[in-house]
Amino acid sequence: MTLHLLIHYTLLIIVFLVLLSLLIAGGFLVAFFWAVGTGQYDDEVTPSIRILFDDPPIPSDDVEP
Amino acid sequence: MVAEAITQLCAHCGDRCPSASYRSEAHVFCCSGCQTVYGIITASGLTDFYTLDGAAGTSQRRVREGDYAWLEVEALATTYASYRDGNRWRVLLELPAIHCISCVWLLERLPRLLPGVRSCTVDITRRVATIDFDPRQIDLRQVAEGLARIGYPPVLRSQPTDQDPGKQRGLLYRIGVAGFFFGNIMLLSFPEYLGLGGDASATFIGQRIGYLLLLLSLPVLLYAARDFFSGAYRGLRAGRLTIDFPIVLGIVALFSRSVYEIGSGSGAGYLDSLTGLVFFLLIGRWFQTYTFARLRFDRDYHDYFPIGAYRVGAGGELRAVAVSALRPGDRILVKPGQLIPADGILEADAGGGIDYSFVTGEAETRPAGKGAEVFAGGRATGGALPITVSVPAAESYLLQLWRGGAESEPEMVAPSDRVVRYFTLGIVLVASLTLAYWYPSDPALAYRAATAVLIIACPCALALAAPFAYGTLQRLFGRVGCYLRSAAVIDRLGQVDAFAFDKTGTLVEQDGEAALTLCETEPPGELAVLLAMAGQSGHPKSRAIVSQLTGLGIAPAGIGPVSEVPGAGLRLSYGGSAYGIGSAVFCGLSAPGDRTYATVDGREIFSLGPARNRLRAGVAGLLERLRHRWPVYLISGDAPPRQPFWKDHLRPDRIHFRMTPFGKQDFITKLQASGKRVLMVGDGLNDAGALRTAHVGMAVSEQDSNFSPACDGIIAAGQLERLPAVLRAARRIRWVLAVSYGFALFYNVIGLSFAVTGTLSPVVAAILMPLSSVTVVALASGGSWVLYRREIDHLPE
Repeated sequence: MTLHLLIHYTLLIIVFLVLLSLLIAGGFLVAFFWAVGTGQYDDEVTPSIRILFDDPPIPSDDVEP
Repeated sequence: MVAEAITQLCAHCGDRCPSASYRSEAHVFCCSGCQTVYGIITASGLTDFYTLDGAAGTSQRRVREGDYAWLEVEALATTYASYRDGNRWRVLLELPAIHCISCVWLLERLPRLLPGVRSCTVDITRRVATIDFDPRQIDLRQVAEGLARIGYPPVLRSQPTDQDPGKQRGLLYRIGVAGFFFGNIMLLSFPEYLGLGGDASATFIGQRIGYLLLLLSLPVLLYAARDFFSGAYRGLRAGRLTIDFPIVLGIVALFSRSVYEIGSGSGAGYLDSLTGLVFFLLIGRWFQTYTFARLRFDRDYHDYFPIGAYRVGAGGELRAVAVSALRPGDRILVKPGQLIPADGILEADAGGGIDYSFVTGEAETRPAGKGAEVFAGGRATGGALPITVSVPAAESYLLQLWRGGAESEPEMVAPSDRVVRYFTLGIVLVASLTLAYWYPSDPALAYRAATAVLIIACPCALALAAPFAYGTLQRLFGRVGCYLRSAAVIDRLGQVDAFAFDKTGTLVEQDGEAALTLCETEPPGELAVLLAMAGQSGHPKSRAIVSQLTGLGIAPAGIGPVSEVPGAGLRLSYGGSAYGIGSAVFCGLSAPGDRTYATVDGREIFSLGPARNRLRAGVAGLLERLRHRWPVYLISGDAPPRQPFWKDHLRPDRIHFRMTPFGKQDFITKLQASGKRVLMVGDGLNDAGALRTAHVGMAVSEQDSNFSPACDGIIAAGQLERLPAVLRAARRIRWVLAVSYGFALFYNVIGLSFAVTGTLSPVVAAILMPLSSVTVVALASGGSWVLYRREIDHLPE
């Protein structure tokens, strides 16, 4: 009886952990989709250059229309 | 000595200055363009531009002057805006001059130079800038002209730049999905790999995990692998077995076998192999879609043409309209120096004749009288030309050269149809034999073994070898200034067995400006008059005179209209003296004939030498090496030169002068009809037709930001002598492929020996399949690298 219960809870924990891991990993997939969708992979060179400039570009009220 | 050499470098672009005519303070410039740009940049306190990167400025000597007046036309300007409202416009402009860190720095500080610009964001690889500006303070024309003033003239295509930069995004999404589910399925299969489960698949948890895995593999099967299914289907409909077909066969076998095993509880299935396969194949696709984004290989005439024209209304008033809106019967006015936008009939004599050098490469202008037919692409050299349009711009005669040059999707490299056919037949045969062998004794084992054959033989390695071999070589070619439009061009490059070269601009380069020789130190008053005279003419010689005299610090005098004798020279009576600019005969001098003279009352004031040409470095060696093995032709639009230099390098019967653009195209067509596969190397728009017709068309470019017509590849002018090495590498890449295929086959034989005996376990499949893919990718890329080092890299710079 106790053994049966133990197995039952172990299985529950495993199922819970598997689902949790998928959920967390799914978050990263969504993050990847967001990054691609907002164009962060469109230009992979210029941002690496821009970060090296000393004075920041003139601040602008730049928002995505 | 050293100090003198340094001061002779242009302070803006760093080129050697032909003369010290352009100075300001301690700085010397090579041309007035560079001097102007330097002035603007330093005046705005942006001198860091010159310290950030060594070669920041672009030489202004060869810059095409753009005409941005059309942007005042609201309807034309709005086509370039990706977003606009009352106080904000956003435009994406192509700036081919972008080439270095300093360019990014300077352009992103555009708001300091142009009030009204809110922000400017540069993409250095694609050479575009996204500019936000306030339409109440500045308009698009002013933005474009401002950019041109600092040395970044925007290129306005009549079909505005593709606003969506993310053509690759779909593939990235699919790679993400495949990678995500591949990783998670592998993770959940771990107990299976370690043998922890025993017959775990039969237990409660094992079965549930199996269903979960099945669920997880669905997005990969239905979304990520979509391209393979559609590719196989398209191939079958066209009656071809493409590489996608055996891939789909493998995917279907993997999935159905997994469904059966998991559903019946008899095994764990092969879903890790399935998702891994799709993941690797998609990476292979991504690897070969690499393009030299900053180069354009698909230019057509739209990119060189004005986007607008002045239409003459019923009341004689001029209205700027889009060129695409011109209809036959419309009357237009083409101003001096502008390109004629559409074929038509002249309504008045063209004073200076029409200069077709832009299209045909011929230096001489053609006289044209009232009623003559003129063709789009010509340039008015005299006064403004009234023209009645006879044919819509898109159907112009000379523009037929570019017709059909529209680019479809870049071709994918794939094993040849023959390889795929034998391969597919082979695995189907092995699978059938396995089935036939086992069926009488053990039908269940027979099915298991037959599907295992289809699974393990999946041509992942076969499909990956070509993309990685060609893709790597394509990137390496880029290091030596040879940029190919797609990896598939390498395949065709390896088949080439005849060569055709253009002369001017390809094998021969212009060596500096024509030299101006002042006869005596004259009072500048006469020079000012002569400068003003030359300024009224659009002839190339006149333009050279204007640029040289302006460089000497002379300002034009105020004079009346000059009479131009087409093809001969200019005359003017001014202040009681007779001024003339033209050939020796025209000016009444008994002097050598190839110079242009300026005279006052028969006295020679100055003369202008012909523009000097010289053979590019390494060209003699290149021709020498090529002609020993292949027929090499020279096809040029020019008249035969006096020095029979070419006879030393080429067979006389293979040298063709006075070829029209259409003649060049026909020449290539005939050569190819005789079974040759021609590599055409050219540079100008007059080679456009020939470049497109040839098996491989390569354009020669002095700066890689230069314009070049539609072509398969662009080679930097200084790297022309590497062409034989590039060709050798392109031919020998087949050996790399053969070795890679050999290894793929070796792994397949091992896998098949498991499969036909019915002992292929999912674990063996999960190890063997990625292993073979990784080995083949490493071999293909490594082989290309070795090839590059052996054939190309060791050559001296």
